[in-house]
Amino acid sequence: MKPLKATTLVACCSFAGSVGYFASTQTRIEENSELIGVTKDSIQAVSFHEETANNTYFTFENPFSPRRELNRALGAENAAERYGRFLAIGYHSAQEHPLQNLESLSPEIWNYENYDLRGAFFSEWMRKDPEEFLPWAEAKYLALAKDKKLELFPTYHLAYLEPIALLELLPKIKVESFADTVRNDLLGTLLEKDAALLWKRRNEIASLNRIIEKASDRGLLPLALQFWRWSEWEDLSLPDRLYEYMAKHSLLNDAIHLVGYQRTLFAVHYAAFSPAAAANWVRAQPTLYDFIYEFDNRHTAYFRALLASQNFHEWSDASAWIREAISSDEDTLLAESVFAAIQLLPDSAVNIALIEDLNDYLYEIDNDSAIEKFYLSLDSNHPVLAEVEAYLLSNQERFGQVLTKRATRELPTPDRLLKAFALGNIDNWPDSYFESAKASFAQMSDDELLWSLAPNMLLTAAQFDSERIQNLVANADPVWIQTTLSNSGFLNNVSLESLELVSEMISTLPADQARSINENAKSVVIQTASIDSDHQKYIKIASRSEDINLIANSISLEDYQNNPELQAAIKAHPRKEEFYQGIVSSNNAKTYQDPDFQNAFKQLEKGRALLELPADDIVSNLQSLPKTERLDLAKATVIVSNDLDQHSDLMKLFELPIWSDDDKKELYDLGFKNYLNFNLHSGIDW
Amino acid sequence: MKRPYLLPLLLLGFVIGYGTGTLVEPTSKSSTASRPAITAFSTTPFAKEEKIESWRQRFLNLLEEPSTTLRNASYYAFAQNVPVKEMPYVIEAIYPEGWARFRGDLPLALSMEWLRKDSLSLAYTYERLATEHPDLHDNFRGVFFNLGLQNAPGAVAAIQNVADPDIRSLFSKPFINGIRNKHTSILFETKLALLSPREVFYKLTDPEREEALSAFWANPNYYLKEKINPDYTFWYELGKRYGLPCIDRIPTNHNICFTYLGVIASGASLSQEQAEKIEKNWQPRYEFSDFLSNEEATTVITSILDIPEIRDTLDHHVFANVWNKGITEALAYKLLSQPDLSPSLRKTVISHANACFPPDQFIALLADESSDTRATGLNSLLNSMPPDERIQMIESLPPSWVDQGLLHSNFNRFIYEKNLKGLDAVAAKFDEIEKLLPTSSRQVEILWEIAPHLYLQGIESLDSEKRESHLSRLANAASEEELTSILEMGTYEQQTNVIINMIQSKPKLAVEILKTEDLSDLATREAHKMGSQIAFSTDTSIAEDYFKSRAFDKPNDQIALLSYYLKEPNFVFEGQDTEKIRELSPQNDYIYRVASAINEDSENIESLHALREEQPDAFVRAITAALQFENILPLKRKATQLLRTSQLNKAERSKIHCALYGGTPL
Repeated sequence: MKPLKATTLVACCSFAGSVGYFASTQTRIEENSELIGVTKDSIQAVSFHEETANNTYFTFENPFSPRRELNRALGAENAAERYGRFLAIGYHSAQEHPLQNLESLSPEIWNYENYDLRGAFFSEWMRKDPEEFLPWAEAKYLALAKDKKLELFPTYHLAYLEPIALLELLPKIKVESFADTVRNDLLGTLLEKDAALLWKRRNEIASLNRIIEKASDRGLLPLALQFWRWSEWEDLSLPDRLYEYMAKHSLLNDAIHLVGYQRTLFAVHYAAFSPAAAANWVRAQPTLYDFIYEFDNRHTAYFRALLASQNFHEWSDASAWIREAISSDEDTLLAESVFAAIQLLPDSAVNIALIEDLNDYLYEIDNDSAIEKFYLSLDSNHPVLAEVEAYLLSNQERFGQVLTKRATRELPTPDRLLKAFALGNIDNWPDSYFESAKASFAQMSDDELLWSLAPNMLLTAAQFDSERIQNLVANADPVWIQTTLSNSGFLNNVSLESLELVSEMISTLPADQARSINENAKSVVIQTASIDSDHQKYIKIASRSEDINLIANSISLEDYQNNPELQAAIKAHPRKEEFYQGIVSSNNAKTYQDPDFQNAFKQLEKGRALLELPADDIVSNLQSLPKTERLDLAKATVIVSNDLDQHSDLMKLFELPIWSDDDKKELYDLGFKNYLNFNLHSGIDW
Repeated sequence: MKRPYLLPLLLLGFVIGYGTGTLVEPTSKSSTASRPAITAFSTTPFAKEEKIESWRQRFLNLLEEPSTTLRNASYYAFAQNVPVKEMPYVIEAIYPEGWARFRGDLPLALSMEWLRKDSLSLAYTYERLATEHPDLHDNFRGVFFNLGLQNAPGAVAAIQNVADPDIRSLFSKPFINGIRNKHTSILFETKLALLSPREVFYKLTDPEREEALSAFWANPNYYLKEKINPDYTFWYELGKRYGLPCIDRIPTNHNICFTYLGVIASGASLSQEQAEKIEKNWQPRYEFSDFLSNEEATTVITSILDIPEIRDTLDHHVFANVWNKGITEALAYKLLSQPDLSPSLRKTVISHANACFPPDQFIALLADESSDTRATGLNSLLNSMPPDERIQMIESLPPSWVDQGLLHSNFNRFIYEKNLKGLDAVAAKFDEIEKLLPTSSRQVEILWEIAPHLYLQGIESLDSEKRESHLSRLANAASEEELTSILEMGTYEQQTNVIINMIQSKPKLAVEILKTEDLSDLATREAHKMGSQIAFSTDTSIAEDYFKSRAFDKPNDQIALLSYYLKEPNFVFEGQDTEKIRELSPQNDYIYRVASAINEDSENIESLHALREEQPDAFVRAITAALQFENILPLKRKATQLLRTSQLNKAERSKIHCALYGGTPL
């Protein structure tokens, strides 16, 4: 062991010794050696080096050998040292025989990560000898472009390290794509490095638009604005961020140079940052171009200030701005301001668009007291009053009191009354409103009524005075009758109670038309069966399959079993089987005790089996049945079908020549309603 | 074994060696100016401000170097010589000039040196600096991106030690971007060390995904709680890599069906419980086919067939591409021979199976199918054939195999391919060629160009109403020379309508013909349509040319002009052409004023009354036409007001009432 130990000691000692030696020479080399290739440019560098600190330059052995120094730099473990050395090596290698030195530095200089070496070498070469550099650079650029390795070309470094030399080179570049890259990189670097130089030489580099855009993209907004000012506020479309910046800092002297829609864009930002000041500013402008839809809920404070500004209501743009305030007000914080502004508007400034917007707005506001105050403060013939009143009437459970208050004060004008008629739902009106409406109604002449009542008002008016309305219709011109009663709006407000009235009113129409209106009226009434638990009363008016199915679908087995009157009503109906089928199809029980339901279930099962078949087979199967059974089975099939694919199979079935026109219509209607009904209730998004 | 004597010996050796080195070449030209300075820094307890001031002086000296390159190089040399304790002072001394963005090399050089030596003090100082100077944030981004490119030692630890989450993220994001650019192999572990799980799992690269899967598998509950949101591929690969245990182990989440797909694609056989669990969360997605190779798609189809709970989803249309990839001859045979295969599934198999069979064999297969399924199969077969084979096949179809839908789609295809032979072949198989006529204008053009005989033959058999619409389409597609023969196929009334419909495609020609027509017999609706079409024409001189030739005492001319005005949305604002037309005659000016009053957004009807006084007949005609053919809300509201005023007589009211509430004109 001993001799071995001694050897180890010697080895260790001599190793440490050599490390020490190396460390000392290292210091010494750096202290002693000078920068190589001293030229006019580097003389200053040397003196700087000497008078400040010896540790601010990487120094090289004499004579300078790019390859040796590169190897040394590549061997440095410390990345910072490597980078620094790369820069210095690149610089010095470009001083003399650059082409030859490039050879020595290759291939490492082309390794992607050695961009500092590349950048330093080429930028210095370009600066020192552009004549020699340019042809080489153009050829190299094209070659790299061809290999899709342009990221290795150091244009960014050229622009960053030697912008002036590059600017001198630029007009001599013949390769257009190369020149474009150079311009682009100059723009990018000079923006941050030397904006004054960029401005001075902008014509060689980029358009004003592009310069301002790029500066804004980089977040250099004061600079971007400075460029715009230097251009004497040229008419440009500025980047959005710049409008925002001007608005934030209230740069009105700049904003004054904006034209057209740009001015609107500024106003939008300004209103968000300085609401009150912006309101004044906007009032001082001629109309802002296309300002509709630009403002949103960031601008609440602004609108509050604008709507309250002096003599706002006399402004020709007032109603347009109120509409914009409404459309911006997602959180409905502006209700009181909007109401106050509308109230002050002269009647002539209230247009239909404003009334429509106000109507939608009312449904969004949950500030009841503001609405009440508004309602009570409007003159009795104010153009928006009818709209507001209609809203209150359709929410009478919230506004009954205030409606009563106004109704005891005055009768509604005919305009308001007609609006209320169109709403229907008269049973829910507060008593005093009803009375006052009735009085107002009585004051209208027959002729006035005849030409004022739209089709959808007729049945509501009849609830006031059915005899008068019936007389009115009976004595009207046949064209009037035809137009009014065949209008779909006529049935808007039909109810179970008014079905008879409808029958009487249409008695003078041709029989076919009368029948169809009657049926439609019933269907409209039956639509309510699904939300009315008292199903019984609808049963006897139902005569079409679609209606029967609709009622039956809303009856649960439990309802049926616990309600003998309901059972009796169905039993008495001529199409009771369809009722049973409708009830079974919407209940998912697998077996039924009741023989009526058992039969219905069997029939539906047949329909379901039919649906499993390809469309052609459904058709041939049905055709093979005796005539009397076809329609029944077809209906059962329709009832159990509920997705769209099946629906298209059914279309084939409906088109069969075996059906009469009536059968066909009945099947179509049943199919459509059933599909609609099923999908509405199952919540499928379609 | 301990060797306590080794260290002193090493030290001794070093000292001797160093001494020797110094002695051998003693001619040092060392700068005497700098040495005391460095010594002074390390020994004298300068006040903080003085230290900063002294470093600042040195920094300003550095800036005097005119060559940017050499200056940048000097930053690195300078940084190497700053003792770590002095770093905070240097960092402060170079503010703000040293931080300017184009001087990024200096902060980078200092950061690299500092990180190497003491990453914790860097973290502390940088966090303070970033908090106090938000203007440096961009610069920090640049520095950390570069540190990432180098994967600088110590950087991860430094970032982890930043307390403020916003500033940590300011440093970590660019650093990770740097790592992503140059060091993909350590990207995932770096992200995991620096980001929240949600960020780590967002947009994974392929190599990252491998590591992400292992990390997730080790602790799925934790990651799901952290609401990670990786792409579908991740969930699919999870199922494929870990198989059946996924079903039991991975909690339900909204992407779980991709994991289940992976499990199924791995060919694992499921227990009853597992099948039920899959069913509960099974939502077939279009993306399924993206992940599957052909073999996997086959496995998926076969496996799902054996899972009754989700078997029905196979004929869902989202599975179409899975079928396309997965169908094989064996699979198709196996399925089609199953007697209890549902008709829709059968159709699905047939519609994808043709690629696996030679045509003869496939056709033999189709013989037993229902006509519907057969047509689907035939169509897929035809779609896969080159035109000539397709034609042959269609020609050889037995009559019972001919299906309208099939012919229709092939007819369309031949139109797109401009294949006359093909079109003739289809036409020969089907008597009712009119049912195959195309509706898109491009198809109409082609069919008219390559097979006019078929087109004419089809039109011959159409009823009057449909014929008119086809004549219109043809007129739009045809050349001017062909127009006469096309028009001759319609009645006089139809001809006028066809020409009106042609205003958009051939405005000059259409207007030229219409100019001289007596339009008295034209329906009001058509007169209205004519005016609208002229308004939509992009050539503004057309309108002037047309209206110049008309006398405006005729009702239909008035209606046409009115609808022209109403359809021209800008006429109130920039009506140079409308202005010219307006000046053509006083009557014309009147119609213009009526149109303006109609469009006015107000309930005020004073202006309407004044206009009525002027020309009652023309007024009522215009109002009723606008009510019937345009949907102008203000006009509707104004019409209800008009009805109620006693200035209008009964006949006028009746007409307006009828136009407002009735569907058809009387």
